[in-house]
Amino acid sequence: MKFLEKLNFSKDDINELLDNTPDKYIEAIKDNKKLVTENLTYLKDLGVTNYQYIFLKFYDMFLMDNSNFISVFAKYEKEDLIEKLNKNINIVEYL
Amino acid sequence: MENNITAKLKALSFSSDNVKSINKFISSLNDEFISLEEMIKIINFLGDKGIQISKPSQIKVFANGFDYIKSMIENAEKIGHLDIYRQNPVFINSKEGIKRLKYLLNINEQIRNEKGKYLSIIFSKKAFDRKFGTAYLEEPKKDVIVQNNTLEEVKKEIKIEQPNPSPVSTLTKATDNKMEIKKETPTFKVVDIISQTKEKVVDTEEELINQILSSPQSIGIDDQGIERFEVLLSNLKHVLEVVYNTSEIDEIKRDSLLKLITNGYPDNEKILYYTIVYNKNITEEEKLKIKEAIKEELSMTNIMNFDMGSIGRAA
Repeated sequence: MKFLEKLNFSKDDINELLDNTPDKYIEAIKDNKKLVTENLTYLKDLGVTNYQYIFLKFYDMFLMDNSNFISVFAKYEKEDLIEKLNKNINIVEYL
Repeated sequence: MENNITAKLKALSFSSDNVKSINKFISSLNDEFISLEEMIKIINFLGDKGIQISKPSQIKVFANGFDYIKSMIENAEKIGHLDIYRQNPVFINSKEGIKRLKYLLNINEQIRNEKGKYLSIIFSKKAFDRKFGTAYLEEPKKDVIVQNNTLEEVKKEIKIEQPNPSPVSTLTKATDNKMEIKKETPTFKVVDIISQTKEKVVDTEEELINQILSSPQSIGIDDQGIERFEVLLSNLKHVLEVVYNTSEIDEIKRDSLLKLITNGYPDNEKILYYTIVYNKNITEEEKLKIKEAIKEELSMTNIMNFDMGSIGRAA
């Protein structure tokens, strides 16, 4: 999971992920590093400051194809979406 | 594979709104994570324990497989805290989570907030390790095993002595669909409620709920409880309209709703369900209809509360 450190995940964040994630997902994340990185980078570049927390809670979502992943967020007005996501990541459930 | 995902979606019996938002998490239903057969086995097993996978983001729990899930459930049952998984099914994923809970029990630390919910620090390894260190990962000298769920054990767990400092309202018996609210100085304590409801060991959640509902009325409720009561009352009316073509709520239903809320029961879906079915002979078909109507009603309430319309749409 070293690739996550390049995306500003701390060691504590990675330990949290390893504790909370079924082994099959850990393997899937490792096998799809490029895709996961693309999706994380999208959120980071969008301006979502707590993208790490979104990943820690909704890591399964980051295994989506990148274009489908982007389409989940792109239908909303950017500033509004970022503000809402930064306040409460649980809204991801309903996007 | 497509057929399998359809069958898996059917097995989950999510409300239509949840099915819409499941696309983000659909990869969790791939055969690489869980087969249809094992998924059904897990759903049935969890259902027997009163644990529901009710949101799309929770379906990742299946990837653990039946044996792992069974062992986590058994560990939680041994210490009398299966409720933690009812509150947060995804917590089953946490390999160390129950150890954190056991650790807090062993050192007599508070594990629930004033609303009776497990503290969020238990669910976060990062926050927990920062506050308590990692001693919980070592084998404890003595396990806390709840033998009889006695009043003393429950008092130790909850550790709430002071009622809410804001004025406490006591609801008198409702007449003519109107609630008369009298303000009194706080007199009730959570432990009093527990002593009324947990006089004997209850084996199932259903037994606990029946015990609450058959206990005498006259339990204090605070302002937050009243707010919750009013929202759930409105939900109840809508559900009864859908199932029975009437929104009339009798005294028994009103009392049942009040009792479950004032006892701090956290699950709104179950509160509504047991309010409707308590003391009634209902067919399996009717029960299913009621459950579906409740799921639909609550998911509409969730969506309206979240107010997706408040996020501006892209041009």
